[in-house]
Amino acid sequence: MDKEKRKLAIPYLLPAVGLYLIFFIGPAIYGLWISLHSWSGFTKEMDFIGLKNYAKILGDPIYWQSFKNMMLILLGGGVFVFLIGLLFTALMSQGIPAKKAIRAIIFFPQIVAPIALAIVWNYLYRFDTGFFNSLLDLVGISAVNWTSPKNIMISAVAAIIWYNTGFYAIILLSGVDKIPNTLFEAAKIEGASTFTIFRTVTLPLIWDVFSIAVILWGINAIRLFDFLFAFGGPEPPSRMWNTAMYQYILGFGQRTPIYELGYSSAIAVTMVVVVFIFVITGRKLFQREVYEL
Amino acid sequence: MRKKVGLFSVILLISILFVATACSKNTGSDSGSSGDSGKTVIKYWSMWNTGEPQQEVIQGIIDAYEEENPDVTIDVQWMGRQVLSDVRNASLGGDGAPDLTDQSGAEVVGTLVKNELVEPLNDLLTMEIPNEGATFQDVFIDDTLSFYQQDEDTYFIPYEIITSGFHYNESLFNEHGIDAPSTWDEFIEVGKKLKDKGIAPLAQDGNIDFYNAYYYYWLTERIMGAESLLKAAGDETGETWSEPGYLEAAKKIEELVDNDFFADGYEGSQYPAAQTAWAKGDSAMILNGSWISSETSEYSSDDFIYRAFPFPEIESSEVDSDQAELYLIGWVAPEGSNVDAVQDFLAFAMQKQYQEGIVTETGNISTRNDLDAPEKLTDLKEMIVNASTYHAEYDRLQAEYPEWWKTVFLPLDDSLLFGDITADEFIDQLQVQTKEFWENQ
Repeated sequence: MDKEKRKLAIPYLLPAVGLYLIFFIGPAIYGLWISLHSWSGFTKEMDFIGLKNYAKILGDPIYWQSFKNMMLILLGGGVFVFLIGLLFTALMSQGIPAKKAIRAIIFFPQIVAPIALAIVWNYLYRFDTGFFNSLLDLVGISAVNWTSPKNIMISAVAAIIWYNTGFYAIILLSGVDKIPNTLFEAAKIEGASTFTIFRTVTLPLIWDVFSIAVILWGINAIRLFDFLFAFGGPEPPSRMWNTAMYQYILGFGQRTPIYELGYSSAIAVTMVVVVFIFVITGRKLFQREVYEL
Repeated sequence: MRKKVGLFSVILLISILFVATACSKNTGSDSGSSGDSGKTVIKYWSMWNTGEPQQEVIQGIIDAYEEENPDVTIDVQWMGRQVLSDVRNASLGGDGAPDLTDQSGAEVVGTLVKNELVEPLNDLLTMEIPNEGATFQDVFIDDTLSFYQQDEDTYFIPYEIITSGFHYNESLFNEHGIDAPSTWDEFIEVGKKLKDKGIAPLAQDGNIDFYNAYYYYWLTERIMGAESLLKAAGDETGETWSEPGYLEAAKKIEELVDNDFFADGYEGSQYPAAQTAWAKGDSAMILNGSWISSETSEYSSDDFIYRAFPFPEIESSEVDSDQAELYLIGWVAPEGSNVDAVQDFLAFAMQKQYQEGIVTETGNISTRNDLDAPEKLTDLKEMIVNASTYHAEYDRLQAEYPEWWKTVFLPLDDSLLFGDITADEFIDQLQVQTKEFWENQ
């Protein structure tokens, strides 16, 4: 592109850049600024306290508990989402029948609102009349308290895995679609097993799609809010807060008028930092030679 | 060409900024003012959701008021329980706040009154209630109107009373020859008797931490009196927790856990599972707010007779056991409201003919002194009317120390009620964490 053409592109880029600056970068910088203050959000003046909110985070047990919950979703949930997603991909790329129907079925949870899913899962987990305990009862196993303080996060993560797997499997399958069938056929003629085909043909050729899906999962898992919030009931107890929920409850109070906007903003900043670390680490780990088809 | 591109870019950027500024500016509303049609508009954001009985009652009042006052329009939005967050944000934004909103007294004080985002409604107290000739302040049950008064100013106009106590099915008690207990020892005996008969004495939806907190809060009220929890929470040294009454209260919760009084799986019970099971007869008693009868009536059997008894007296305590909890729901006028218009509407709304709906349609106790309680809440109204003193729900902790309440007290209280920590550990932790909490502020 010559110099003149580049200049001509500027006015076309300006609307998007302007809107991005005003509605995203500006508020983000303002959030960072608020995090350096003690502020309830009720007054015009904010009390500058420097890095005190960040120091408070270090000694705040509820923050670290919520951070642990966030990491459980991000890493624990992520491993299963992609293991199951890759399993689907391996099977679906081998020309199994009713491929389109299976794709539609595994994607189905994504078209239901997470809040509705949370309510349904709550019923499934009920101790007295829930689906899972009814099944256990049928086979003579005593009931499990799925939503007890010790189990509730694991139960929530299991539900999160269930409703996310289809979405990420579809992304991976879209990568598989661009691989010419001739490659699979050639591998089969050579006598390669399903696993070998997946490892040596499918996975290397969808590596770029896989890395994007993992990063997308990371961002979504760190900011996950709606499902967990609804799963916790009318006012979720602190044992099942992730950092996004903790940040919301501190800043906007839910039904308890806390309104610590400064501290809440500091927590939001830590979430952004975690996203950056995840994205940068992810890109480094997934950096490989891209095979051109 | 270069000049043209540059000029075009500058004009475009200015245009975007102009549009963005226009978007961010509150376009304002005709809240509380006379619009083009000359009508006064009262903007009302309510805590109720469409379809709830209270929403229907209040909508009826609004319709009647607009019919009698054709020059006034009430622009109502049913926002749900988190309405005050929206009111607060709108108040900070300038002229977007409503003229009228409603919520519980503790939330109103914590969110709006403490932050000076409300208008006093003092003139309303001496206004006449239409069609009745009575003065506004004279129609309320004693102390309810003044309960949230700040100095000489009245901001909060309560229209519904909630209180808490132990709820039970009289038919079940009669079937097993059990009388409602009045002291802690009797309560423990009742629990043991029920357990022997294979009935779980207590229902508890463990995922609602503020329901779990009813036990410890009521025990401290009974052992040490009103505001004892508030005092300990506000003590920055944490030393107040070492007073023996706090440990005694925790020991009594330990006693309930050790006796296995709570229904199986209560730690993980997701609201409303336990209260529904209670209404179906799977458990005998539930410590909860007076809303429990209206929330569970569709699940209860035909012979279910809703009764309630106050939190038992602690024999060793010298505190009067006839103190009652007042958890009031009421109206408030946020800062910048058209106070005259709001007061006129509230005087109209407090007419007996409209407040009857709170009793008959919503199944709650009205703040009007000339209305009976619904049959299911007769016991609870008796507790209120016969009380020597009142205290606010949870000792006002939600309004005064909301962050401590949510991040220090409730998690520890859950651990105690679930049997994960002992009473001694509970007190030790409260002492340490309260001190740390205040050091971090």
